[in-house]
Amino acid sequence: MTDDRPGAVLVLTNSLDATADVVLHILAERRVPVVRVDPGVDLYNGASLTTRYGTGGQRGALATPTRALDLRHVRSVWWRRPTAYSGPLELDGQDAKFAGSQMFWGVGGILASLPHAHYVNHPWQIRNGEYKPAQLAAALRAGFLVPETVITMDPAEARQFCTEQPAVYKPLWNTPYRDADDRAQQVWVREVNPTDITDAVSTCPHLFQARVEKSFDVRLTAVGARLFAARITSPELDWRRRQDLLSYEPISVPDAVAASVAGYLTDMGLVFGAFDFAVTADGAWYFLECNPNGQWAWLPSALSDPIALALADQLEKGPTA
Amino acid sequence: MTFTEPPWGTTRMGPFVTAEPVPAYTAVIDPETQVAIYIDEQGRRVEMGAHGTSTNTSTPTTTGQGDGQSGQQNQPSDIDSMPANDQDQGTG
Repeated sequence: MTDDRPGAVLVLTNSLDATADVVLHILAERRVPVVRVDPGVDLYNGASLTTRYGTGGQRGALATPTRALDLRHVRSVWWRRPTAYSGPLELDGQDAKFAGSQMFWGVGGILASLPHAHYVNHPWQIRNGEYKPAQLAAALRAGFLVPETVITMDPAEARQFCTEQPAVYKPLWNTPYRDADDRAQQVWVREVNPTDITDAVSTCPHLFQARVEKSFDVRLTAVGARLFAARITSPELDWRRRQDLLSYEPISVPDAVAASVAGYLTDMGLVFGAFDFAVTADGAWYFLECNPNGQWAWLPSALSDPIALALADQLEKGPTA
Repeated sequence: MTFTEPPWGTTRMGPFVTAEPVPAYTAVIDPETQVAIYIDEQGRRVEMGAHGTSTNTSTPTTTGQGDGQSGQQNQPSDIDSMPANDQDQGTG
């Protein structure tokens, strides 16, 4: 028997996700039913999740302290920032690891396999899209301009690349890192002096990229077919470093770039993507990266409000979006 | 060959520009809207404003921090990297 009731929007995120709240306010105003859950935390604090598979097909129920959800009627899933699974806090060692793994493969698998739901984005596509080498490969397929890039564990290769052209180093993944004073550290993009490169490059892969002679940066947020591009003017090479000193203005997207964005999203199976570009004085847009779960609420409200509305539209429309 | 040196990439690390202490909040989910209501250490409700987040760097609403893993920080966050620092899990 089919059921045409429009289902709820399932929002997976931690309770301190201020970005999610911006969109949830809009959905509440539109009276779209929403179920918010942080499964790695809530399932140890009163929530429950059970699914069944068999001759009756697939069914299941999620109950949170404030909501009950029939998993056959999920209109869309907004995969934001759920807490990483770790098992109950009371456990440690291999028991915690067992529980955490069962949560990851079990709960994560259930929530990634809801029938007919519109995923923004699907978690496995997010994961695929987070690999920098996969991003570069997809960017080339999509026809973007991509800065010359090398990924290597060979110090000689790294040194040669950085001698041939001005280059920067970017990590392939961000891990929490603290200095001797326990202050949080991050790799900031700045030029590499080839003489600074040591044999410690052989410890793991390192990504070096030609430094683009850019006149400004662009953050392009794609929500389905809608593109929201902001020109960012920054005193620093890495604009993330001094976000208090940035200025933003909307910028129109060249047709060729828009076509490549659409191709990239289709190729990677994404509905949402936060693209970064470096734009040269003669108007060439160089693809730097696409974060499939990037942030956007830090932009000034004139730029972020339309993104919030577009996301609310996607989630409200569900599979028809 | 031995690998006793830290990876070269770690020599490119630097601190964040602003590292002001931020207050610890807890969040309660509004049963009606499912929006988070933030409570400070004194039990007072914190207004996040109509926009939800601030672009001021005195709060970690900025983009690009790989550090503040979601669910483990104590401030409403808008970090740009996935909390998937456990490579066994990633986005799951």
